[in-house]
Amino acid sequence: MLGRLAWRNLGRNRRRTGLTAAAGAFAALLMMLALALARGSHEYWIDQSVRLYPGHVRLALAGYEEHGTLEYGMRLSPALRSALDALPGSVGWAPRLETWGLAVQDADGSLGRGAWIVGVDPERERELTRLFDGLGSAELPEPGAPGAVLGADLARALGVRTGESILLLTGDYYGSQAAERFRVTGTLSVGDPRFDERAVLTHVGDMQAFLDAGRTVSHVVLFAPTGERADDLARELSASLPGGYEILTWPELVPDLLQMLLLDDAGNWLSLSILVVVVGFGLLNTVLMSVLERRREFGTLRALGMRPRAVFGLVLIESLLLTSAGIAAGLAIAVPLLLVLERNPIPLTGEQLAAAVETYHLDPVLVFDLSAAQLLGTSAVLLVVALMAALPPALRAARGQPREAMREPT
Amino acid sequence: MSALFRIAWRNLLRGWRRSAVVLASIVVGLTACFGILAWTVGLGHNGIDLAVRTHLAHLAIHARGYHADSSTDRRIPGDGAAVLSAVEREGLGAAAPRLVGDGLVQTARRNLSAVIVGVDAARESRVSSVPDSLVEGAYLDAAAHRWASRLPPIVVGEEMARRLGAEVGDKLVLRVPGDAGAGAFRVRGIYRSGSSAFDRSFVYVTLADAQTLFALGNAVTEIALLLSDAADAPQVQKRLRGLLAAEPPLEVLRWDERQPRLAQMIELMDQFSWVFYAVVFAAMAFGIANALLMSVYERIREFGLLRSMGLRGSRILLLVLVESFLLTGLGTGIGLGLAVPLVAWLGEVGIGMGWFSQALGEYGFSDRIYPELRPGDFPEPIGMAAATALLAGLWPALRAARLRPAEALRHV
Amino acid sequence: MRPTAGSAYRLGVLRWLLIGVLVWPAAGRAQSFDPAELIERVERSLRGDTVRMRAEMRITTPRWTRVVEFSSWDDRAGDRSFIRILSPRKDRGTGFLRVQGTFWTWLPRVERTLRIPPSMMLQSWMGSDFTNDDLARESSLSEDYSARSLGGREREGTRAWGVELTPHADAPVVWARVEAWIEPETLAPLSLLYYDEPDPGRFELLRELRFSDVRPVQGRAFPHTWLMLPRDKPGHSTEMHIVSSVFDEPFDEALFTQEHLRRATGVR
Repeated sequence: MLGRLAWRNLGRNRRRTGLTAAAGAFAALLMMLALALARGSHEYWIDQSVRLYPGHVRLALAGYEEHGTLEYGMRLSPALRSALDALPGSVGWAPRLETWGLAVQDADGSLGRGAWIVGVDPERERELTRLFDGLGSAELPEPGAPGAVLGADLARALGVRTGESILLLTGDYYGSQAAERFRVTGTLSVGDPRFDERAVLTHVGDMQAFLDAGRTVSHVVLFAPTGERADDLARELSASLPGGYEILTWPELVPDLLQMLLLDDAGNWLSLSILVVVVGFGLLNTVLMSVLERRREFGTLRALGMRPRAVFGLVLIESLLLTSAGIAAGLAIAVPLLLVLERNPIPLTGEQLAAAVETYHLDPVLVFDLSAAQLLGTSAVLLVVALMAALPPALRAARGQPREAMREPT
Repeated sequence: MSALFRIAWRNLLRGWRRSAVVLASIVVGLTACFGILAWTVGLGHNGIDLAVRTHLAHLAIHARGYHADSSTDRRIPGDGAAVLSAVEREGLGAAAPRLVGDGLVQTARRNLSAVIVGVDAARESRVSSVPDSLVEGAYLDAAAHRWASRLPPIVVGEEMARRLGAEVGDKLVLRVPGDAGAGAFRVRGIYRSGSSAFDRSFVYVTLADAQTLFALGNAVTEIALLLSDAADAPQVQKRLRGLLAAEPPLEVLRWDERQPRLAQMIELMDQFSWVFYAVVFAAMAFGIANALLMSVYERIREFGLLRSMGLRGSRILLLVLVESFLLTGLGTGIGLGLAVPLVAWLGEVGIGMGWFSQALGEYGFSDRIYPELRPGDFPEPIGMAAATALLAGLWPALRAARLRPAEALRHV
Repeated sequence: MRPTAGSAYRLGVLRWLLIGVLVWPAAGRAQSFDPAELIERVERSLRGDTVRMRAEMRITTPRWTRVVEFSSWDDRAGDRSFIRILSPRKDRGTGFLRVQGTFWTWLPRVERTLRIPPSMMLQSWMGSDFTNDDLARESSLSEDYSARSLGGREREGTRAWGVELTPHADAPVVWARVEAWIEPETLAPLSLLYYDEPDPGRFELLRELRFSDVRPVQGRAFPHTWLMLPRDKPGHSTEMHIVSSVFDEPFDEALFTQEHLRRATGVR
């Protein structure tokens, strides 16, 4: 009975109904956009950070994380290779052989710079990581002719250019001195000082020969389709291998990334709650106003014998109906819009931004990502907000004195 | 015009409940905007301040080429006294000489690479916060040599002490390249600068001990300058370059020239916070527009009456816009009135970010953020609020202005 | 801090031999000893003024074992040394030259001489449990430590004299204490124990150097096997066999030059 009355009331004043529903729709749209943006940028950051180098999952021998030396290197046997290839939750893997050493300019052999020497499989890295994205037209190290890609700042510090050569000095697999001449095939700058100031990237085969390391690699990184699937991949991996390995996932590999995301989450929650409050005020505003406008009407209802509780319920139901309609409209706009945005991130522009992007090699885009849970959550939150926003006006309507309200001119 | 203001004002007062609600949503939105802005500014300043006050300083004087290739081979001619006295004579800021070089810190169990900084303790405390950031022990004061043992004192960061397993009073061996070799030191103090990256590599000894260790006579590699206002850096830099032109080749660089990444990161954060303002302002604008629109519909008869009394459409448009401006202006005033003391209070006590200290530390931020607003931070949000009022008021105002008197009067 | 160079050892070869012959039998029979003098004598008997050696170093880790052969020339008086690797094949010809605090290495594969930065100096030498620093012997037991007698004791079936060495306050050494055990009859060293002091008064053995296979060389009892056991790395050890040694022969100045370092013909 109340429901039907509420429905008829809404139908009677189409303009007011439209405005209030539009407020709900707009609120729903904004919240969903904001949530999708937060979610999208997180996935994007994880993806960008993990794809720079660390990987979603890292496989190494037990003890590698603590010691990180060649002593804890593992043999990449054909059996291990096929086990890695067979993982259903993996989109690919890449071997690395890492050590620290000294990079010296070939020309005069003066005191060199500390270098982080990494043997990689360039083809796999090209496919899986963005390590070589900033490389431009330079060549990747080819197996057989020892070549190296240098961090741009390291190359500058050593005073070497592409085409010239450097000497690398380090301890080999047995700890004895290893030295080799590498041709610089290019320089790279990824915005991370670990790479730009220290990295020397060579072909993993050359690196194994250089270090007398046979088939040993330091670790293998694996990639899952998304950051959220890393744990599943780690479980699959651990199930398919015997003991004695150490399997870490990206939150352990890049703890500062996780913390940065948590920090950003905190910031997002703050922003979203502010948004909810602002949106809630908007809804309160519209409902309150429509109640104020209809004092005569409510007065009449009371005079006709409707009890205050029923008037209270009427206003609440009206408000909920309105907000639901609004949310439905919001969803109807948000979902297709987000589906489009998901595929077409919004580019940002600005001079400083361009400089920062140049440094960090992050695409200056706003990335959106939508999830059903978020849509439902947003709708629920907005309904609660609408209900709360409707309480004060509903109370007002219920408390109005019948005669007094009728006497008042509109 | 003043009549228009009076009418607008009276209209707002008449529908005071409606005005109050719109006002409240403006106040909430604006306070939130200023709050977020202050947090971003505070975070940025925190990063700059931390880096500047621990080691970077606002300006640094080196031998030419030091920035490109930092080595102890590039020294300031003499002991830097001439440069120091020039800086002090001109009253340009607090200055401190340093000898900075790479080396190793060694214990029986571990060897770690370190940046060894020789400092003049009294001057250093005027340009760096490290002397005041000790968590244990004491700084390199004059009495240090007579303290506990004959070993010269060393102050290390908390993170390095943890990695070495060293405590105050423990012996450390420092080793540097070249003929000089090594020296034994005793841990005099342990500091925590707020940046874990810094705390794991910078160690401090007295300037004289560093000169002996590196076998560099009375050489210094750096003179650090802290100004009372960071904004003066470019002018002071220019003056210093002029002053030191007579000296043998020296370079004078600002902090943002030495650490462009830090400056860029702060710009990037600023940019992203604008996306948020835009969303909040959009929500706010919609609320205002909605309320105004509704109040216009509610008063259609009234407007019709005004029109039939001969008031032109443009006047009515203006009337509604003025109402919108008055509301926004009032809301902005109240929002500022709330936000400024709130930010001032938060700026006083700071917001603890203990949870995220590792990430913040990695990026060179300290784990306490002190929100702050600079005078230059106010015009933009206020401008945006004014623009919002204009945009939000425009549609209802147009609707009101386009009403035909007869139709409006018939309206129930 | 103090200069690392500078030594009190300017004794002529003959004079030293003479003193050695005269003092040795007397010291052997004595019931008590002067610890500082004993350490000085042991150190001198191990290194002489100069010593040329050929050695085989067997390195054992839990995962592999390998042997490195090298020749070394150690000029203690001039504070310089020279090492040339003879095998394995991959490392053959690699040379190390130290003159006071500065180190160079010759890398035959790239035909370059490089100065070794201090960070690499503290790494293990050729994968062994000796550090570059151990071999360069920059620190000296008699110069950097003060000695205290631990008296005579029965150790592993033999009687031994013990000396506790505590570093001088300003000595740039990392050990909190070194214990030396010496055979009283021949004055040949038996073992050196290196301690850390993680908490005041609590000493922890970090590594042990054991000497064995003592045979006379030029009038001294010289241990021909040196076994290094790092106590914090179970399964790791390095055993050095000295194949031949010649003490106190004068070295050619040209030996300690970069020209010589570069000459792969220096392999003997």
